[in-house]
Amino acid sequence: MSKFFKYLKAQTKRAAKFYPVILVFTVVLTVTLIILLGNMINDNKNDESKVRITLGVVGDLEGTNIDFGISAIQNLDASRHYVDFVSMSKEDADNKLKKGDIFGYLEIPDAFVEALNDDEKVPLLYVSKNSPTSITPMLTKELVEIISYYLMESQNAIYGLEEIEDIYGIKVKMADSNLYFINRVMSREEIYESYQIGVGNGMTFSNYYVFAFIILLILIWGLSGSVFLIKSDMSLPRLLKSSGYSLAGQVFGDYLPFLFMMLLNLVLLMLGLSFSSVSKDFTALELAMSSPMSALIYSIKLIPAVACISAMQFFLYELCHNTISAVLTQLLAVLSLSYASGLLYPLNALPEILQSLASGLPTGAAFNYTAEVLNDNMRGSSFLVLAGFFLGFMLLSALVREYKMRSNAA
Amino acid sequence: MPPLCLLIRRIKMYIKVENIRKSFGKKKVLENVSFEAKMGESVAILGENGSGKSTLFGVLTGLQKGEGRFICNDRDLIKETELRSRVVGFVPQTPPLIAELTAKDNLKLWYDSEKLEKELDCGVLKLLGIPDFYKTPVRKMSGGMKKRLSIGCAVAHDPQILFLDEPSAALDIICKEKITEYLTGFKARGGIAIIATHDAYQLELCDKLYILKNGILNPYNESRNIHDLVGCLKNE
Repeated sequence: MSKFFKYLKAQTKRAAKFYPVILVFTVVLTVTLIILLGNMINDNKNDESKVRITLGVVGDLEGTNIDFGISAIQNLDASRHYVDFVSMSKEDADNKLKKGDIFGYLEIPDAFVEALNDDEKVPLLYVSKNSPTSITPMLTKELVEIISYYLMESQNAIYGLEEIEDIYGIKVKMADSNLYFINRVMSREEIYESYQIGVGNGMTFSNYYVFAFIILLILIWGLSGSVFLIKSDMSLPRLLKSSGYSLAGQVFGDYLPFLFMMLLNLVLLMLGLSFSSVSKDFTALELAMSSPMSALIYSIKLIPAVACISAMQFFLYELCHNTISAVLTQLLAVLSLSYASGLLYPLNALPEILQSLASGLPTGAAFNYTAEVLNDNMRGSSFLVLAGFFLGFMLLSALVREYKMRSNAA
Repeated sequence: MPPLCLLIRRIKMYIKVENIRKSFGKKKVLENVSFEAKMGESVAILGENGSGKSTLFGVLTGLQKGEGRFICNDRDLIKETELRSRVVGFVPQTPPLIAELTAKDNLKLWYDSEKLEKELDCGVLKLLGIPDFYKTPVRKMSGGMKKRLSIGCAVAHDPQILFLDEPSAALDIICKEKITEYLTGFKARGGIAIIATHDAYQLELCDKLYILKNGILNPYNESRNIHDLVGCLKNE
């Protein structure tokens, strides 16, 4: 046992010599990623509350009831939160459509008003740029159809009333009638309720990405192991083994300083967030960042997730013989596992087969565990999965080390 | 009379290396290599680069697998690994040191604190001049310092048999002198040193000389003049 602690002490001292440089890299990277994540989540919040599609309206509508109808839709209907109707000339509309300034435009032909008077139907023309097979243009097309229907029917009603005025000599309070019509027909605000099921496992967008971000950070921090974990020459490990330093002792003695470094990074991150106001924007971090002590406690609770991922990365380092292959292997692992575990995109946006695979991956298991810890909803089964991965990777690392020692010695 | 701390009781011993064989695939690197040595003797093994000297040392020190016997006082050290780890020390050609750590931290892997202090004060580490660079990181050391440090690490457990693979390679004359001085003392204390070397200093020190060529070890009993030795190596 004393040999293990001697070796661990030596490797910890060694890792400590690299840590200042690793810390600088970690801080710069983490701050950059936090800013990017913050912007992404803020944009999403803005998008969620104020997604506005701009639709052009082309046609000479001045003085007509259509103009009044469109204004009513623009100002009174619930769709005003999502759609801007802007009057413009056809030339303007075509130019703006090409540039992408508008999503599409509604062209109301000159004959439309006359056709209504004559009880004929002249279709409105909707011009858009995007392929009709993707979701947003399809929904916009539906919206335009609804609006066209409203316009047509409301115009029919209005012109019908005007005819009644003429035929029967009755004075109809046109404005009141229009408003009555609009309030009855267009008041859609209480006919439905909406509920968001969230992006994955019922999590909100921002919470999901906070948990994913933590795991992604741990993965990226692991790249720093390439400066001190690569063993291209096995002569010292073999000599140590022949002098009584067991293989398992050496493997753990090399791994533990790496784990300590990752944990220290996490503690510094959590403490930093607890002192800053950044965490107040994220409900996922409410509990964990309520105080520095809380941040420290939650960092300790996240040890299994960090240990699982760092064990996987340690195993990958054992497979490599030089720094370049190690960095490339780690980058490949970071990208592929991040994608497959739903760290880069919400899991429910991925194909079903990947969704079922995700929780079986070490990064997917770590993500689930992190979400449970930060939601104060930790389950024993998640911990066991991580423990299984950890032991599996350490065993594999020892086997690879043994193989390398023997093949060097063969 | 040497200082008390240098007096180490030694079991009278001998070694007998018998029929060591090693192949890499179909290529035979060592073919029935045999030699003997007794207490207080040193054996030099000469051979061209790639002749198998390091492989032979690897097999005898247990770092590589091989066939044959390595007898020490009637016990086969190839089979008795624990005994081997106690009586055999090995200084490889490339010093097995942790580059980012100091001499002190590297030595702590091999010595316990008490013994380390003692050896630095008046023991083998003092003899090797290690206190002069005790707190220097390995990556800042010269080749001679690294070699002396690796010898210091290899003898931490007081081995009675010491294998040294090219101990003087690329060293200056002062360093060679220090190493030779150490080996002289080691022999005087009853140790057996087996040295793979091309260095004239160490050749003079050795009691027996062998030439390893084409996997076969043959004794060399003739002139130790370096030119004669080169001629012998070149000949079949």
